[in-house]
Amino acid sequence: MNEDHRRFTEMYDGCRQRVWAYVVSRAGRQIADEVVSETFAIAWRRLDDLPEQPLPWLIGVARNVLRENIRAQVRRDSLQAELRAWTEGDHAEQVAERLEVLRALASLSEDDRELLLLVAWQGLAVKDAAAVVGCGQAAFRVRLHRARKRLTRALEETPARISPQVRISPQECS
Amino acid sequence: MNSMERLRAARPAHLDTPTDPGTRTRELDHAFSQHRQTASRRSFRPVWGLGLAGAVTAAAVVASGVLFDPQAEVSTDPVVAPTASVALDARTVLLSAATQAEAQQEKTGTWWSSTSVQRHMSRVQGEPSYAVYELSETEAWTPYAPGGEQISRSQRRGFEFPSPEDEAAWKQAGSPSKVSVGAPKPVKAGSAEQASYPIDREPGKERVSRSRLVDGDKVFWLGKNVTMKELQELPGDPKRLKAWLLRSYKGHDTESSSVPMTSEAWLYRVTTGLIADMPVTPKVRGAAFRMLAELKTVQVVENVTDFEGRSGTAVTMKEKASGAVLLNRLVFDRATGRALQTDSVIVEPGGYQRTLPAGALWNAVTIVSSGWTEEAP
Repeated sequence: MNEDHRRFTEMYDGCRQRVWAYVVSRAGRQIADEVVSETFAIAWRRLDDLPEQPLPWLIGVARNVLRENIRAQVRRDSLQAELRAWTEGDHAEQVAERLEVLRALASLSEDDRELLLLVAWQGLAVKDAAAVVGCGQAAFRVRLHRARKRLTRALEETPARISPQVRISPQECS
Repeated sequence: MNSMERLRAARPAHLDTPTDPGTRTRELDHAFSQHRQTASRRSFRPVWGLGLAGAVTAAAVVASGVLFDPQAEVSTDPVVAPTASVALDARTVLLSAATQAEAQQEKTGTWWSSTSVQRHMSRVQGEPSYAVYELSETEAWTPYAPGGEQISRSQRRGFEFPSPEDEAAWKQAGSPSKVSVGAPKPVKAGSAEQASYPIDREPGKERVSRSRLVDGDKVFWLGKNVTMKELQELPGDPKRLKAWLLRSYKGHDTESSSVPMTSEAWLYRVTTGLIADMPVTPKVRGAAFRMLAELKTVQVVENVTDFEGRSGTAVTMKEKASGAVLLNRLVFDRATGRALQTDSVIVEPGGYQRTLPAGALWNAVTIVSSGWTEEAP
């Protein structure tokens, strides 16, 4: 193992889990490993291009891999399965609150959802999140603001008490 | 709680699941098996820089399937290590092909002519079931000057067998001279929605068709209908060529406006068509290879043999199509950058390909010859 291998492994250990979390939140676990594996293969090929703070760059690559390699329908199906899995095994109250939020989230456009999750779940700073989606910071703030408004509206439209299983997963309803 | 706080709180805990050791090992191995790009560029460019003679040497080295030791990348010299495990990366191979394509001499003539053989795999209905290739051959002539006709001569050439097992099953079925093949629609397995049609073992009649050029001067489809003049004047710079092509990209499939397609997949399809079929200058063919080299999702497969028995290299891109996963390939001769075959391998059966096995080469167009000629058909 030479210096490059060590540097790469360190970077992998530091970032892999967060890149995976990003892909899962965009497209579900079913296809996440495949996308993450390809992302790090590209990262190795482009090791010399890797910035000091590699996470946003890696998420950007994962985003491209998702878009270029995985059909939209497959992404959507996998994400639907993921949304169902997220609520299994929770306590009843948690289920209700979380389902409300997830359902509102699921009702948004893919673009809105991505912006919101980069900030709320991936914890990226606006500067980094803007770099991931390839727009300027000012434009990102505007888009994020709009996405937040749409999320708020979707949350308001979601009934306070829903029958979660029926909403999310009809086939699992007894 | 405001909406962002509620969203944060709804973050599923399993998103923090640590990577399991097996996955870690697999992914690191996969990454390290990739050839580093900048390192390979550094080590390989000087060889091309020697000009034509040097380029020929480089091509000879490449064509013999020399492998590089990834550990040797720290050195600036390409280390020839027959025991190494990593093949040349796609970019290096494609840039090499670009150089070879550009070095070709080509003089335009009165006609651009090509002869190709098409193979299409279908499953024969009945017991036992087996697969056949339905064959047809096409010769096409396209005039250099506007205002003329495109002429084509085509002939069905019966069927042949993808494997000895298929042939044995056909014999077991009594060696019928006519078989009925199904053309499944992309619906779920078990559906009765199948159209079938008969194909003959014997070659069919030769058919000649003449058609006036579209609008009097359009000869090929390259993201849009183009004239011979436009094809001949395409930019020879890969960036400008890409921009030129992308002007016709509207976010959807080349075959259907209701099927979304990424710009990368679209460019691959249009560019491989350009390389395989169209009368463009050597410079433009080279630029097309350089453009393919910059696509992130292409891969290269070495030592591919086409249906004419010629050995070549394939530049490939995966496509998910109506339930199936396909590997689309352009097989080319590395020494000249000329196309040998375009084909498609089934990675995961489904949709139209659901009755065929994974790994099958289900569709192929083999370019027997193509070039400029003075001879009228």
